[in-house]
Amino acid sequence: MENTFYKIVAAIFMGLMILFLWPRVKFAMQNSPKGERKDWQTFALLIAGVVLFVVLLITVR
Amino acid sequence: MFNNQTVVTRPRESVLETNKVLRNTYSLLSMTLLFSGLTAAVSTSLNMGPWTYLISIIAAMVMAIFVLPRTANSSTGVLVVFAITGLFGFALGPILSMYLHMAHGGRIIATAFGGTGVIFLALSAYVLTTRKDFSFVGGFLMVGLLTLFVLSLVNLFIGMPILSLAISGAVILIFSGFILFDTSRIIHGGETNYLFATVALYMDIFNIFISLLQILGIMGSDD
Repeated sequence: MENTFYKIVAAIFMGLMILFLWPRVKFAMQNSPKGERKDWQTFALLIAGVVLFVVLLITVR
Repeated sequence: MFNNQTVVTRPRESVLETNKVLRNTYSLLSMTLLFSGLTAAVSTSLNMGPWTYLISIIAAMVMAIFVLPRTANSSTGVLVVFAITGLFGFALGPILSMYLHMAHGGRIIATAFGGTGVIFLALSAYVLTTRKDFSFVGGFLMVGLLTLFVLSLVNLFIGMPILSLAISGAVILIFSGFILFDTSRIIHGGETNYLFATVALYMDIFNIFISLLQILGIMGSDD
């Protein structure tokens, strides 16, 4: 019963966060400058580095 | 002559202002990380119940959304930042207690802590040395964040462990992207208020730490 109540409160909070984020997401999508292919490659490479690092942490834990 | 001086002086002032924001942000970030470490220790030693996490996070987010914008240009703003980060730290208590009762829990916490530090320092160092502008990822990251909230909401009721693991992995990637985005915003003058900048970077670190802890905990369990 308490677990259900916890989930309901968490769900309400997440729902409100989604409502709060929605206009900001729309604004960011419409107003973010467009990156060039090279910019996205750099970004993807850095994120891939993070992925590899996390895999390394899981392996050596 | 005067015009030339003005042209030369303005960018220099702008650079000095950016450096000041950056310096203040990192100083305040260090202090808030120490403070939230302290509140996390207090919360852990008090053996706070599971509701502590949710209530502290809600209180911290309410302060970040409604109180910080009203106080960001006054000295009260610094206290508000400490309150927000202190609440985030306090939220960690029940989670850290749970890990400390697991086999190798202390090592998992230390690995997640160190890993978060390495990710933050490496990505920040990249942006600070290359001065690359990552403003183009703003829309992508916001869509990613919204998707994560929707997936977390769904998983709250269906409770799929594999989806939970996937969400944690995605949180690390999205907030790593936010470290690049937020740091780039500071050095390119997109964020001129160091209180907002501190809270943004703190949340990036907090979310990466929590998710890394969850991934290492799941992968490290013997079940």
